[in-house]
Amino acid sequence: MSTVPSSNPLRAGRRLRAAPEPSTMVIFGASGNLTHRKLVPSLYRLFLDGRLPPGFTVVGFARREWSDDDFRSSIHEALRAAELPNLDAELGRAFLSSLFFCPAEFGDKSSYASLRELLHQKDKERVHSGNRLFYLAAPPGTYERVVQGLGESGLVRSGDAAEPWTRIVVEKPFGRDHDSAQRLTAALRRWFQEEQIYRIDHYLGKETVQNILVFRLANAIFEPIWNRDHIDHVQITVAEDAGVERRGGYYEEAGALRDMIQNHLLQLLALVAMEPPAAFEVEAVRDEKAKVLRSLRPPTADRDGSAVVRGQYGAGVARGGKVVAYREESGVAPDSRIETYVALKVLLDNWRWADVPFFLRTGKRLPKRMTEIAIQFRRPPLALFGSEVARGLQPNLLVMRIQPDEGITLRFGSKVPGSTIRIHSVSMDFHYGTSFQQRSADAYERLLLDCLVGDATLFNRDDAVQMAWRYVDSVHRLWDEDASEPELYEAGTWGPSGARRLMDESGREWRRL
Amino acid sequence: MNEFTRWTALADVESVVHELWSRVNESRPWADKGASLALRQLNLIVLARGGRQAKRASSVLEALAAAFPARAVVMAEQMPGDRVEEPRELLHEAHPLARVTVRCGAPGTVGPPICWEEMVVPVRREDASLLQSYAEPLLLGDLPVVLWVPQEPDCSAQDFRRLADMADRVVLDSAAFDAPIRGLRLVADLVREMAGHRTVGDLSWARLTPWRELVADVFEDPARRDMLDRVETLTVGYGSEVVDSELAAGGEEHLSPAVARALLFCSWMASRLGWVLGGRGWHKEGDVSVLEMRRAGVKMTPGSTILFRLHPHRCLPGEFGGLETVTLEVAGKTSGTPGAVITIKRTPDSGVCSSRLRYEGREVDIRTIDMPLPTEEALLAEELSYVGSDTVFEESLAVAAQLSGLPGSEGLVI
Repeated sequence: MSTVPSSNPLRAGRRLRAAPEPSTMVIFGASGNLTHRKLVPSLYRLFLDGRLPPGFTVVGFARREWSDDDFRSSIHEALRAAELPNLDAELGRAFLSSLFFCPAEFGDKSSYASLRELLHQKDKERVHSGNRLFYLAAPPGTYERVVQGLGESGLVRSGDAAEPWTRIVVEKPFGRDHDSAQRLTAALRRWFQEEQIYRIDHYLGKETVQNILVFRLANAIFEPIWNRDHIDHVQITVAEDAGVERRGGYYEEAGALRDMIQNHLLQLLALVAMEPPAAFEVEAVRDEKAKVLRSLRPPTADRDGSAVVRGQYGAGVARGGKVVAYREESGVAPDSRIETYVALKVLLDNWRWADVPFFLRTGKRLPKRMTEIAIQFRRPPLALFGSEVARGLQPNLLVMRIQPDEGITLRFGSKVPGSTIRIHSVSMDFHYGTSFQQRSADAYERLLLDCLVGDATLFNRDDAVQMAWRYVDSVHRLWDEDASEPELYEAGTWGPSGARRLMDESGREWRRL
Repeated sequence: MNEFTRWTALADVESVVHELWSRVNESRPWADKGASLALRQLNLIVLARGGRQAKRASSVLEALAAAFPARAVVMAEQMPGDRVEEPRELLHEAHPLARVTVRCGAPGTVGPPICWEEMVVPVRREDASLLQSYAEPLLLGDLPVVLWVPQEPDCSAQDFRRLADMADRVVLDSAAFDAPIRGLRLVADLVREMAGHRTVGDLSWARLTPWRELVADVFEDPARRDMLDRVETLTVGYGSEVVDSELAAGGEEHLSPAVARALLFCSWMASRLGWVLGGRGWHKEGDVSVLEMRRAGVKMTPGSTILFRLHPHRCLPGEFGGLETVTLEVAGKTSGTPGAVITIKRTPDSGVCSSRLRYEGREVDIRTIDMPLPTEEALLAEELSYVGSDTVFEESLAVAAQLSGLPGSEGLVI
């Protein structure tokens, strides 16, 4: 009597990449922008790279009277626009033939019955065991209806390891404050276990973001100095040169604090500040990140060390041309008080980071698009070479660039060649692109693959989301109590003067990017 | 591209390297992009036979420079007909000479340039015993040493042994050996001898990676995994450049190496699935070489055996002779129930490779991928990516070495 091995014996060894089990992905909001611009191009790149599971199937679910062919044509156009190769060759045709469409209404029970029927049929045709990945790429207002539709139609399996798996991917925003995030979680948890829920933040799929942990924990020289004894402060910047473009309506509801700080910046902060996990395993990593978010000190009106600055861009010059003020953008109220820029001085109440300020800033219509984390170390305890000699010497700085040029820079002092002692700061640069001449997987590619193999390490757990919202809500409460408007800054500059004052008050300055 | 080259005596190589890097830094047009940190991951020694092979190796190293920044040392054994490249005015001053080159080329619009350094040391045939003494002083300390030998080495020769002793990893290409089936045994011997001290890689194994991946994919679904217990036949179709007249004239010396790769592939399946020798040796069914295997721990009964079938497909001389098809015939769950056929086929024209499952009267596409012919650069890059031993390779190779020595193995010729 033979026994079926629990793992694939042919997969053994280091060279063959882990492959996801055969599965079907259902995209809710399949006619939308996210699907066409991000999800399907990422899936196609994974397909070309041979990384999708064998027999992988995609089912689009959206409010369109589309046939399979209509859906395929629409995707074909999107892939062509993304300049992806082999579209009209055998490979492209093979990929497109794995796409199917289910015309639907998100709140209509019969749509889910049709979906169930279609999935059963495809499982049979493509000899699948019934693994499902549901992806919520529709507007956030539809999430609860979709989850309910899935649950009531019996499309959600329990998460029992003996059964084919069911997972759901939820795009941000995960609510718009703590209360709504809790409601969304309750709706999800009615049908899904927490382990089945993948809250996606594409920032966490970026190569350099993942490298933060590797850099910290795979190199013995950094961790001993990664604390308040050696680090003066940390700056995290997510700068965008674009304005709100066509997202004025959405942005009026969100603002920079909800759109960027609550997720991207606080997640980056958590990765920089977290304790080493007991193991590089999903829950161990997520536990440590959650502890950091739990230790965020809420800002208070009496400025007990923390501080908050908000700004809004006015007219100016950006990307080489004149641009209008935020209040003149389409979909934006002429008297809008929504912030397009936020700078925060954040303090963590924990043993490692007590009194080390984390300066966070993000804004639209800044001079360039750039994301980086800069860790500035303390100065040497003595100016041994004399203050005159060390005039050009800056404190040691470690910069992790996340985009556009992913890499790491270390700044240190070096003697200027010559007969006298003169010291200058020099930088050592490591560039991902040139040091590893292989294309970095796009963040969505990495994260989609993780969903398919069931690795939730780079996804947000409910408690972390709730704690991030608690912090953001505390900032909003401050602003609600404060009648002042966001400080205007000229488009194409580095934000309002309040941001500079925030640094001045602490005797530091923003890095020039 | 900025390139500076100088011939120098071996003893002066380091100072010349330093001087050339200074010249590169002075002349670089990309100074505004900041200083580039010279990352070096390894010492890569190439043992090249003749000037042409040395040139080819240099171009492979150049292609790998960004991904595997290395101190490259090319030991170019001079062959009859190679022209003397060293400047004559230096020849009487010192011997041997090394040609030191540093190059910087901007990779694109972002980031600093890619820079690399290379030393080519022409070695006279009569000086072959000195190879190790030439190479050793050129290596950078604290970095792993990889020895790449693009052609069949004389594994028993002292010069090769001494060079190999300096290395942490030796990379060979059994497909480039004069007799590929015998090559598998030579590499297996080397793996065994070097076990525990240094590791051995074979580009022929890297050539099988996409094929192994496609076969493994079929059984990723746990519901299909029990088919592995019911495999009855494994047929590997490979391209063979051999024509009958050549066979008659030259025997193994003229063979396409793909027969060795087909055997290595079967051996991989056997080692992973616990298949052991069932019959006495190879026999022929027309052009096809056949070997009977069985599942370990199972008595030889009908249904317990697996047939290996190595099936040559003729291709014209000069065409690629690689794997073309892999077919697994699987028995039904019980006697009388229909079985399944899994076929993986590469279309040489398009390079597209598809896996299909014929099952219960239906045919299902499992996967379609682009499988271009691998370049030497890509294969070497794969081998350089792994440090430490690859036990799956070593176990597969051991099986292949065993099967290649069985009675009838002399028939593994087309």
